[in-house]
Amino acid sequence: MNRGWLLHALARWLCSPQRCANVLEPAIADLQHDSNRLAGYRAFWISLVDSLAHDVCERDSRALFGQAAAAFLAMIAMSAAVEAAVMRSPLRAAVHAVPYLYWYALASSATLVWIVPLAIAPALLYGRRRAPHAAGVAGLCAAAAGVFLSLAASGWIAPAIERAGIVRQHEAFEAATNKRFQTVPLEVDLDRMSTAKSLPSLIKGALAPPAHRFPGYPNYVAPEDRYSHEAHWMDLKLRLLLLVASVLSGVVGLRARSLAWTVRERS
Amino acid sequence: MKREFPHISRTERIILDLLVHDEELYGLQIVERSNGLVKRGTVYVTLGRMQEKGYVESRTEPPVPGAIGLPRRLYRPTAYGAAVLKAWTRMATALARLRPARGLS
Repeated sequence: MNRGWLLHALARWLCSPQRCANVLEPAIADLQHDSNRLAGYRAFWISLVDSLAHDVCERDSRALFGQAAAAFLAMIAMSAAVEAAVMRSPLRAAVHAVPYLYWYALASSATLVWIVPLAIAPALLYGRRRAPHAAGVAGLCAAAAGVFLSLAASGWIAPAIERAGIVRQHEAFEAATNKRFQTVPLEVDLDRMSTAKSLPSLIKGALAPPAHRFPGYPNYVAPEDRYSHEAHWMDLKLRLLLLVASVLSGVVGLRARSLAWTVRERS
Repeated sequence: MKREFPHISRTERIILDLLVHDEELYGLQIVERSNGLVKRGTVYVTLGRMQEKGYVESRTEPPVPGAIGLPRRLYRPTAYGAAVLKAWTRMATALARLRPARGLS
């Protein structure tokens, strides 16, 4: 195998055919014929970065971003509407009655947690179908944006919504009872609830020892806190799983059509 | 009809100048003959851009039996590119003549 074949494959995958032929293939050809390898590789990488920057700004790439974003937003809006219809209506009671559905565990941010990572693949497929001439780097950027959005949704936005819900419930309870009943302080409630924690707080909570909340009893751990550590770990694993799911969704979105073509050509 | 004024950068001028004198060159040969004025990291990008502008045209070298790897690309100036270079050189000379001499009052 000759020198530069991997670079050639990379250039063909990421760049538009025209830029690959006019800019990168001459760089690789000169690299293959020159003894100064270091300068050749350096020239290739500089040319690649420049080509990628230009390809990302091309009209086809912008069309892919626009189409993929529109499809993504449409799916999220549809899912949020269904979620709102189910979770904020009498239907919610019916869903809770169905065993093993675990809708109750999804609380009020199912779309953000589950649908955002899963929507990346169909959105990318739609975008690539509507803008078939977009360079590979455009698809890669769109997939990366989806993964970051998924991480932000499950790591920060969904927990913030959960936190707001808990605070609202607390305040509603206090207002309704006129503070006649003593309840668990809000800070303690929020500290115990792993689903309401942002990713850094969740990692901190998973690594921290069980909380001792009673100053007079240094060795005592409340029953509610005993399993909090495990709950934090489970939630952390779930969020990592969601991150992996978003990456896989991105890979499917990027590769599915070419895989379909390969299968069709073979058959 | 709106016509854009052809713009030519310093690197493009150097490359065109070399190509006008040497007829056909590889990217690597342009770097070598420019005595460090054209860097290897920018030559391919500049040549690609010049091709889009229509200043240069290229062809791949004829296949050599037993050769491995990609064929190298040879560049040569187009008639339009040569005309643009000529016009720019003439304009630069004319502008240089108009510049007032320094230190005289």
